Amino acid sequence: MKKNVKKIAFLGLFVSFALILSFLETLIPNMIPIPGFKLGLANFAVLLALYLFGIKEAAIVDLLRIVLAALLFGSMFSFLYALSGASLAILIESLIKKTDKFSPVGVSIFGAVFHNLGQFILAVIIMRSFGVLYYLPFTLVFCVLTGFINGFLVNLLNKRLAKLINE
Amino acid sequence: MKKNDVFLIIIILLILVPVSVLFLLRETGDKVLIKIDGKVVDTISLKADGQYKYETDHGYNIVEIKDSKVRVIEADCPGHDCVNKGFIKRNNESIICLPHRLEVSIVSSDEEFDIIVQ
Ligand SMILES: [Zn+2]
Repeated sequence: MKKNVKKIAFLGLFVSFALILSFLETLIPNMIPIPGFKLGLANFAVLLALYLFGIKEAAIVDLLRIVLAALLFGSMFSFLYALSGASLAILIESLIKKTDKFSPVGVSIFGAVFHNLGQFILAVIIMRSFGVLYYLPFTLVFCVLTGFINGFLVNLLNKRLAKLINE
Repeated sequence: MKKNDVFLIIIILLILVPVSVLFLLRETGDKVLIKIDGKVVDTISLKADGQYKYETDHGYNIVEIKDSKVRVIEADCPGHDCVNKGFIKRNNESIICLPHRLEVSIVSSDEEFDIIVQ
């Protein structure tokens, strides 16, 4: 198979996988009163795209996931929140990855932390109040955990999938 | 995993765990503060059981105080995250209704005094 065709097939697979993870997240009761607030499970597929292809491809996967998730089981608010968190996370992940000082685990944790901060900053701006920051420490603990799991899985799959794509 | 990953995780946990524990150990408050668009519109004693309705251009929220706890019992916002949050009772805990810019938070009487002094 041509490399380009393989790439498009993989990216399509990643988008659908990210969408499934996003849907699973909506089934978890939301402890944080921010619409669209997510633990970041879907970031696994985005991170994998970043490692296998690059920031452009990762951004495409993430954007498609966010648009589709908002249309299928979200709202305008959840769309804006997802977008604010995701764009900050992808930028940071790509920067940290470039330094080559961290494995996918560290990159993923950085992404998770900034994904959170992006959402909280937007909430503070909209509410014109810092009250929402009360929830920041708890959510960061959870997100570091999901960030760790995501990074660990990407670490496992990255090299095997790269071999498959470059064959 | 690299050495830097381990350092990162340890540093984050060293900061977050004590802060989270401190937050969880907060005592229960005694005043409910209602803010809309960042402005205080109402303060109610946490002992004053009842339902209070707040309506703006964004929509309405009904706040219920019961047994020294407070929750948003009804609202016409999308997603109903504020309603799903359930009861809160500890100092500085808050319920946020983002679409309506409404914040229900709990403070102690001392803190309310500070606000008046300012
Ligand atoms: Zn609400």
